Amino acid sequence: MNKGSLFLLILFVMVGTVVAQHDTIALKEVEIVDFNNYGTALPVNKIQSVSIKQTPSTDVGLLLSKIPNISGVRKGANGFDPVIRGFKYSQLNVLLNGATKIEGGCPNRMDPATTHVDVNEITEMTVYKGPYALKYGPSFGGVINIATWKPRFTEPYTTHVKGIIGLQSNGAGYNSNVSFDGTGKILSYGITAGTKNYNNYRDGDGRWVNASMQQFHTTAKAGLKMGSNSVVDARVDISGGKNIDFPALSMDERQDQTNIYNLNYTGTNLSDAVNFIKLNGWLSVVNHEMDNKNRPFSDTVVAISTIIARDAGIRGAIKLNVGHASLETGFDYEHIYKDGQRTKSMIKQPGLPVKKESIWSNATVDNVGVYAEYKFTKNTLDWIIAGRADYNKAASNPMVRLGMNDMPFFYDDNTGSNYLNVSFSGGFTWSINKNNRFTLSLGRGVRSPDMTERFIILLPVGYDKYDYLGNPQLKPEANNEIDIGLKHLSKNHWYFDGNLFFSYVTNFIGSEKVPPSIARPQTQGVLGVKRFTNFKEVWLTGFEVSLKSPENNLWQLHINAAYTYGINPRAPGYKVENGQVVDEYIISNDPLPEIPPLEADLSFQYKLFKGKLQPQLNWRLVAAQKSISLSYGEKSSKAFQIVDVKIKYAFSTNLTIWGGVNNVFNMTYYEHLNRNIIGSSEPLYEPGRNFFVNFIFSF
Amino acid sequence: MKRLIPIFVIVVLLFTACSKQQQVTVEYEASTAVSAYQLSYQNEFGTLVDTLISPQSSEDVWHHSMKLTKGDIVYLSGKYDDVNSSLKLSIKVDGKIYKEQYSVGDTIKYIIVSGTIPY
Repeated sequence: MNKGSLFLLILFVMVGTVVAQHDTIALKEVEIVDFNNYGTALPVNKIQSVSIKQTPSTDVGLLLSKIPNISGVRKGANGFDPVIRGFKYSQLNVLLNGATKIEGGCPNRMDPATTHVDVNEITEMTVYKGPYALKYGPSFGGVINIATWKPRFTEPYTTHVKGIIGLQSNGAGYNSNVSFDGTGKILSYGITAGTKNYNNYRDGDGRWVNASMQQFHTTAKAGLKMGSNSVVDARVDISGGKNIDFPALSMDERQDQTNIYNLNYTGTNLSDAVNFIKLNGWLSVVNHEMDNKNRPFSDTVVAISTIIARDAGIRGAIKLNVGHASLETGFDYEHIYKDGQRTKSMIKQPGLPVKKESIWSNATVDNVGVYAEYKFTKNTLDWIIAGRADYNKAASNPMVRLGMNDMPFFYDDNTGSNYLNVSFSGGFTWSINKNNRFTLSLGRGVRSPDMTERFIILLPVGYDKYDYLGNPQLKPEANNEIDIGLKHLSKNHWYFDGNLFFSYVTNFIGSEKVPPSIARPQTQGVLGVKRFTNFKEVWLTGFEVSLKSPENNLWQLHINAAYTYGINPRAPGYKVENGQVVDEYIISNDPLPEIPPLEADLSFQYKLFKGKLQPQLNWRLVAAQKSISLSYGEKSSKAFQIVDVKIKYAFSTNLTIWGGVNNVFNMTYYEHLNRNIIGSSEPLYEPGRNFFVNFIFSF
Repeated sequence: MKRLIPIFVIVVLLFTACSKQQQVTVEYEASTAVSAYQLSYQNEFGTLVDTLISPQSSEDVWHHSMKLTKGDIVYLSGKYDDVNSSLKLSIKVDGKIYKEQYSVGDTIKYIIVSGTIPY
């Protein structure tokens, strides 16, 4: 963190410590369990900050994987990229506080949007599965809404200090964060700073895995109450990373600086008819630098990539009370800009020649959308109906790659495209009786291709060993999905929640090999070049079930299971011999790549001494994944079981300690979605046994 | 418990404020030549410098020292035209030899020692 913000923070904390008024009590954070989503047909899951602070995880993506049917692609120490029901990357809409979007810099997704949010800042994460939650923007496979600080107002003026110090043994390091908040009658403000520093870890067999990282985060925010119903708030987040290892990629993150600016207006209960009006504006700027200096190939060519990614937008919404129904309508506009180049220094050649090539070249994507969501109740049915229309426009400088003689061997100046996408969804919750609910949702979510799919120039950004080429003329893909759910609350308060889904995706964006006459590969060891293309159709199906014991028990039992299966009816196949593609053919009903296997988990906890002491055991069982994509050369993965234990000790109202052991039996395992170590067929193994302790304080 | 507030805050700030210096001393050296040779090296400003060195004897050692940061590129190359000469190029990082090359009577090939300073 820079010296200025550190000084500011110390000043705030000192002042706060001196003037802290303790005649009001800061309420402890509590986990609210609402018997999951009664009243909404949409499949929704939430994670509260209380759960987040119980684990040594400091990666938002990793925390999200606690939700059934959410997994993630791991490529290194950080940047666990969420996968919801087999949908990933731009098929998911990730946003901060219901509006703010962040565009990561790395073409290989070292830094998906979730990595630019500090986990200690999060108050709640909400996941809307499926293409139904259209008010947050174009929704294809799901929405992840990460909620952080909100202004609150108290009388008299109060101040609070909160923080966490987390330590762990395997990947030895720490996570620290402190925040200072002040709340008054008309002014609410806060300042936060934190840092994380982790080293390499050992897998279950004691082998070292490169996974060191350093990150920092500072935030300043303020809210002003204007009249009895209106609040204006502003926020600045400055965060960064340094020397973050990505052993499964051809580069490591050398440094990253991310600035996020927000300005929001919220007016609530403005009249009998107007429930709220919200206006949000944001700008996120990511400066990302990565290099291959820790790869063997850097003995010959040192490659350094620098990328700037900007995401700016506004969002407006109004919610109207219409009798017993409600109508929310609004608009959003998002502008994404990306530019970056790779500098190659040929350090084994006389004169140290340097070659520069574009990764993106002043590429932009603009999306403007309007939406409406109508909720009403009729008899025993709670309905929700939504629709949105998006106009999406993209442009870039010509896509060029120069050869050694500075002549272009790839050139495409047909880079403009624009689309009008229409999405809609509807569903209901049928309250069959006091104890049973049936839910049905239908939706069609359409999303335009992202920056990588449109404009990437010959980089190995996929799962397989190919250089990838963007395709500016890709069509938007559409997810047509149906969800059926059943919720049952037994007479003795056991709670069951089950959900089945089926997705029929048209114009699915995948990739297909192109002949060398179109483009030659630029990366050592790849099999050729693949270009993003639309496939006519694919489908995915699966389920989630969970069972929960009564909340008021001293003991708690929670069981989850989830599964997804996806098929491409006609996928391109490639026969490879001696590192060369020697034949191409069509594979019928090829499983989609990077789909997690069947998984179940069980957690049991017991409250001792009125909840002061709370031991907990988690048992996770993951099946082998044998449904693998031949088209992408995917490898099967083995089944495994992991046991974690942890214990909470509420030392006082001000201090809670969570400690425990992850992977108690020191199993050697890897998740199916973990990428292989670069240049090998060795998977990226997960950490072995890890002791951790988190000190959580609040005054 | 209130007395613990400053302690917690100070501990967290200490964690937050820590940062490691990653500067190292890099030395380029050229030796053993008995006649003029050309050198190219990347200096501390990232500029490629070309220079002609005329040693008085094989005992003469050309030397350039600088402060760099871990991860920086180091590059030193040389070439001579006298078949009776030789050239030894080395790069030291914090006093320890990082890369070294030696050539005798080879007037065709460039001798190149290069790399990135290890993290």
